[in-house]
Amino acid sequence: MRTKILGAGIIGLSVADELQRRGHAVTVVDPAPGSGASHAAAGMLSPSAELWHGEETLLGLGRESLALWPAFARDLGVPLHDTGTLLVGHDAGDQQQVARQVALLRHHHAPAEELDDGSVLLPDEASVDPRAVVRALLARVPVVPVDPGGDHDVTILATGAVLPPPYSSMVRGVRGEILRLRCDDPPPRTLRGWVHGEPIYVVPRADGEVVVGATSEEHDAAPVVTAGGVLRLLTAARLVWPALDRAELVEATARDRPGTADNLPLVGPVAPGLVLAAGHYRHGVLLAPLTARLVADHLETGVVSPALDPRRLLGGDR
Amino acid sequence: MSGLTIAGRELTSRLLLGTGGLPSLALLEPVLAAADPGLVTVSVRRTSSTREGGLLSVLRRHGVPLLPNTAGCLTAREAVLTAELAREALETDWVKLEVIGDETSLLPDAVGLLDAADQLVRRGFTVLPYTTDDPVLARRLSDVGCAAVMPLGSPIGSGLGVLNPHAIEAVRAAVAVPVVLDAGVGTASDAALAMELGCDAVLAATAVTRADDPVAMARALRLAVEAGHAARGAGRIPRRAVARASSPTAGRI
Repeated sequence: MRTKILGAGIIGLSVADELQRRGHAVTVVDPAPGSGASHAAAGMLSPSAELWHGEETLLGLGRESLALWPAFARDLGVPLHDTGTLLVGHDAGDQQQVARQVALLRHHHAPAEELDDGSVLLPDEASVDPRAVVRALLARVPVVPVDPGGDHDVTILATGAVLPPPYSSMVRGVRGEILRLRCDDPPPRTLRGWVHGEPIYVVPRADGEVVVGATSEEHDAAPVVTAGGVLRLLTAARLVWPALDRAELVEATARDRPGTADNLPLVGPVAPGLVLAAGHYRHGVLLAPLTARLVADHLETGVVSPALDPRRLLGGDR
Repeated sequence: MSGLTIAGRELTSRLLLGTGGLPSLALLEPVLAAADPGLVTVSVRRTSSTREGGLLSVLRRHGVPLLPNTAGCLTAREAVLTAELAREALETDWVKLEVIGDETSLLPDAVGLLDAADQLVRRGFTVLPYTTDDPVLARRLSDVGCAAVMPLGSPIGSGLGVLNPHAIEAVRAAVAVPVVLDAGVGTASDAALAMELGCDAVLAATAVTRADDPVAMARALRLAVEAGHAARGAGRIPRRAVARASSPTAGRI
């Protein structure tokens, strides 16, 4: 099958890699590969910490994709940081939030170990450096800056937060600001939790890099790093991991996450010859290998996951 | 219609809703359908999303009247500026005025609140101030021309309910304008109690948006507000120190 993929973020590239592996012809078009949400993403493979009431479908998808990650990372030659996630609460209200999350995880039979200090270990979670993943994928998947035209059997839209009309209102940009620091005393595993009611995460990499995120706001304007956003992130991160006080602040980045109305991605056909692989919101890195399989399976067999079928959000005047 | 009129506009319901913190945008329409709110508050910032597919576009399509708030403002100056921005962006001169005293307690700053309310009334706004449960401050806010007062039951987002019912009754007695219980509602009984105490309406946000099932809680609060309002009108029996049989005792065998 001759396929064209618009968008070389982690989703477009993962789909391209899977299609290539299955013997299909792939043309990937992106003037700036890996420069969208993938560039900002912390790379948490953390479906349990992401779980919320009413979003059990996402937990199931996340766990399914998490199970694919060890082989995916090994194949790409990218290290997987698989020491789990520690859930922490700063003040009494934040600790109540941790307890509520644990109760929810227990209800869904997701593993969560309460530790003596009140924090909670989610032992099967992991993290990966999305930039390293994108680099590894780009080494295998050629990307052209402009659409060369030519005949294709199917076009796959993987342009994240910006879809062309008439699909543009199916995703909205949800701005996230994220920091990268260099620390000689990083936490041994991902820390996630709440500080004075606001969510925070601290993700360590093997090389001493620590990623701190993330703000979440909906804006019409282009994503920029704000003073207030950096202040909030650093204040909260230093409270959950005090050693960050001496860390070198290396980078601050803002990007739009591709949010959908129901927080689930859009994976499947929208028109003859047109397939979406977009709208992955906070879960693009986690869901990349699963999305790649789902798109390839769809092209080969026509199967579509009903929960992810983009046509669920078409109709009406959306 | 609910029979509740604020500044000459009759509201369709005595439940007002805040939408901040809803886990997904897809929940907004079913929550609105279940709550049937008379007004929906929206937070306005210098840059808010107005584009198709965002929160505001869903609210506008639904047609529920919007009440912009000045959430997060720490000074009267900031609140007045935010109200002006909201008037431009949302084309309404109604504003739920919040001037927060500190970011830990999120309690209103009484001095800044009264100052901002006075300024905004003079600028032609219909002002609904989020205030403490202090009847004297409520009267002062009413005196400067606020269209309603919105005393807290307990701190924002705490879900602790109405911690001082006597103070809410005193606020009710202190002003002629409508009283809207704002902040602290955690579940249906809190909303019913507020209405039984004489509030004209209840505003709920976190109680709905962070409930396990926001749609079910929206419905519960709508019913509770209606029940509490009806009970207030029905006239409750006094609390007696001793039991009193409800069946006649004469003619027993």
